[in-house]
Amino acid sequence: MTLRSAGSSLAITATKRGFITNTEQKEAEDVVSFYDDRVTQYASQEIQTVTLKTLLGLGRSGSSNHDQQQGAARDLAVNLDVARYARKELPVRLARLIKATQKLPFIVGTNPYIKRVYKLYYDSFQSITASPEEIRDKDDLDRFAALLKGLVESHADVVPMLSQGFLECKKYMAREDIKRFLDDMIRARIGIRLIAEQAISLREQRHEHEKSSVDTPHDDIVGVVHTELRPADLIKTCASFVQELCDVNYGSSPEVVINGQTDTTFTYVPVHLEYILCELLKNSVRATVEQSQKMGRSALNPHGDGSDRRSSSTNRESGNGVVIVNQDDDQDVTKRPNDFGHPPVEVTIAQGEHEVTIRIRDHGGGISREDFDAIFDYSFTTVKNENDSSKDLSSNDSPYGVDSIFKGVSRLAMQAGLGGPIAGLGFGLPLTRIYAQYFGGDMHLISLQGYGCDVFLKLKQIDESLDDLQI
Amino acid sequence: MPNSNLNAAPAATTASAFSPQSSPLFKMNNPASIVKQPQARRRYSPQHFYQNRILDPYVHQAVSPITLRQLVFFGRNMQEDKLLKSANYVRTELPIRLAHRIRDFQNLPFIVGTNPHIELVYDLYWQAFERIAKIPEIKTLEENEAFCEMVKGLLNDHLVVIPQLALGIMECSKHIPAAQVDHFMNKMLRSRISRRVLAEQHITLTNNFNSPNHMMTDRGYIGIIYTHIKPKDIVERTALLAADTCRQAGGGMAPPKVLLDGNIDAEFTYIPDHIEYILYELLKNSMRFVMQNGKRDPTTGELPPIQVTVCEGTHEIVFRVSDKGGGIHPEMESQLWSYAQSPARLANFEKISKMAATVQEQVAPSSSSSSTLTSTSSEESDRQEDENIILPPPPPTNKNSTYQSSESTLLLDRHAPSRAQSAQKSSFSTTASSPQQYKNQSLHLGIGLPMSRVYAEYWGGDLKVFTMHGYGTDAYAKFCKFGNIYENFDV
Repeated sequence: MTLRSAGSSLAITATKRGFITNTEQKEAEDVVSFYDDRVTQYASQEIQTVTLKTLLGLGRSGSSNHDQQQGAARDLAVNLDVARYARKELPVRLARLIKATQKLPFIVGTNPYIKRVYKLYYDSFQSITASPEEIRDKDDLDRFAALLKGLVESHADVVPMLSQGFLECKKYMAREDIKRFLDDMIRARIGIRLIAEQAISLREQRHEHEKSSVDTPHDDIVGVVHTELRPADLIKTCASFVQELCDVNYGSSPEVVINGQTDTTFTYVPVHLEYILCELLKNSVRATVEQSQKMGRSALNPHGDGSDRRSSSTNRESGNGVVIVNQDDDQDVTKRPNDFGHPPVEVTIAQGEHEVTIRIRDHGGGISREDFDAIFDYSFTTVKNENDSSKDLSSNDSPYGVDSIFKGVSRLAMQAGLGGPIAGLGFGLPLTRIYAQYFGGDMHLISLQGYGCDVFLKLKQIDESLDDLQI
Repeated sequence: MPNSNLNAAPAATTASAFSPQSSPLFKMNNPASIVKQPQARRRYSPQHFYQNRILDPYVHQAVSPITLRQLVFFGRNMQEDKLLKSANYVRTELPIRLAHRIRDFQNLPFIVGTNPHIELVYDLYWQAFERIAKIPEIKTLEENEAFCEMVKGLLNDHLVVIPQLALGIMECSKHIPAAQVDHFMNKMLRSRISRRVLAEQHITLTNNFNSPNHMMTDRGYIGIIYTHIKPKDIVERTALLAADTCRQAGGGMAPPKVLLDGNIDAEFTYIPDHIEYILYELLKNSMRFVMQNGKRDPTTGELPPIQVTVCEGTHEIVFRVSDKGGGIHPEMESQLWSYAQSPARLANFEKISKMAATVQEQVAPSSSSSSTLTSTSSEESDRQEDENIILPPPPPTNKNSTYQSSESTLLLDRHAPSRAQSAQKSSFSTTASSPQQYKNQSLHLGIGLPMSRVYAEYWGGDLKVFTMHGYGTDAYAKFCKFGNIYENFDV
């Protein structure tokens, strides 16, 4: 955002007047950023990508067997390493991100949301570069970790803000350009957060170790990484959160059935998986309830008012016992509708050699052809805004969706640190896919229009096999 | 006209009289019989190059794709003049489509063109082209009958095309990049489907017109198209066939059950043959994997069933085939849609083909034969003389086993006739069939999936396969409901 002309006219006005107002002062600071070469300096530096192994301290062997002091010393060493790396690397990555934002079209850059995000990143850049370059000991570490923590918290709303900003700027930038920019930015953001959070968590864990007199081995958790993460547990947690949200918004919710290899454990970053699961479950749950409403499904009428279930519901065998019609199989828990008539959402876990696959199936009616191409677009949402009568999305279009209950709950949910409202923000799916692909995994969505959706989530174990993966 | 250099070519074109050596099955299983040609090959003669000009006018003509709906409307209330119109349409379209493909062959790298299997197919195409191009306008029903007979014969002869192409392409895998191979094969297959649809439709219309029982059209059959396809019926049919195959191949082991749910009573218009081919492949694969890797239920001792779900949308119908067969191994997963398989498979294939010849010759042409599948695998090669059918294990899901040797179940392209069948007038139509017909299946080419996808995409649908390593696989076959999509083939 180049404010050269704005700056010079400001300067003229200010000198004429003899004083500068508060807002003008602030704007002047923005102006200064044009002349600030430091961003360019840092951005031109090479990004030192680090392998996961180093960052996530995977090379560190279990210290439970060793002397506690030795273990603590090693922890501190790892902690310092990561912190030093963070101090060196974060400014570079932040600078690149800032530079990318500076290249946006001027009009886009003046959007208040986008401007706020830009300012956030710029301020973070300033703070980190202003902090001492050398981290020598525990105190330096504590100070730096506290700084990082503050910054991370201030950035909590970045994605919703970006989403809102670009929604408003839809007509000024091509869809593909927006997508590319946001994809890159979000990926960069994930990397930055990963580094920062790792430094913070390691320090906090070490702090806990020192404070507690009991030798509690926490080898399964290394900063942001959990080496023995049980997806089944995480799914349960996310499911209850999502079901509650659904109850608040719609009055009822479907069951979530978890099957497959439920004892699976693997090494992953729980926060990422949590986000992904919440988003996908939200979609499934919401679709199921809305489809039930559309079809008139209820406990007494499990197939709804549709005329496609003329056949009897008893299981029928054919020929020599090969094919059995099990439409209303009450034995099959993945089919049994609950008291509200909602068929359950089925989550299946599978453990492969180097990855874990999670499949989420719902009976939510699928995605229509017209919508399907757009679901991975940012700012695309199927939530109808009741207040929005015009086709053209005006600035009244709030990212928080429709009515005030929505807003209140969503803010609550945001404060809890988990995702956002049940729908309406328009970045759930694209963001989920980026997270899924982050460590070499992937996400595929199959829409069975008229029936439901299947989502395949493939997540690579974070272990030695990802040695070359750089973030 | 230059004579073909296949010894038994004249015999092969009439379905009735033939000797074992001339059967397409024998030739296909015993490539040696084709490769050593005593006569000079005409295609290397200078005349061939200059005579190639006759292709030009055909290659330059555009092909007009059609939709299922158009076929249905045309096929209703068949009359003599309509029938003759249809005959002439087929008569003119086939050479054009053939010419385009012949040109594709001619564009292959020379070294590939000298491969004996590729040569065989090339020759077949040329013969077919010349024969049909010669036919004058069809003006009477008798001429139509003769035409139909000829085309039927050609269809029969061309049943070897797919296995031969597959073999040839495998042997040439070092000369052309995999992407080009896949592109070529897909194109060939699409065109082949298009020609067969045209030909089979017309022949069936002729048969229906001739038969005193015109009730067939009232019941929804328009040639090879059926307007009231019920997913339930078609899944039951194909599941039975697949179960039969797998039971035999598994030495009597009971295959897993197939459960069916969803919009099973939906109805739509399509060519049942195409759907059956795809479902058969998918179910067969699922059953094989489950029989190999499925964990039996601790109480009932049964294998985990395969779940087929029918999903009806506004424009399309999707068949989801879901199994708990342990998933597809990652190394196989990357080759799932490829025609150019690894050379290791080829070596195995050759081993099979030589054996198959001997076993096939010994099989009596009876439709109730039970031991018709030959088997091989590196571990079981010492059982070559054994006529008992043992299914070699499908690819395991862990990488410790040598998965290369295992893709060797012997199942022919199901459209190829058995020896028993060639003895009678072959019926290429596979809709009204008894399980017996498929018992004489032979070579497994390992290209069932890519071929199924070509079929699925032909009228605007698609085929997707997703696997969960360590658990199972889901396949999604999508078909358009309304029949208003144009044929998907390259001009």
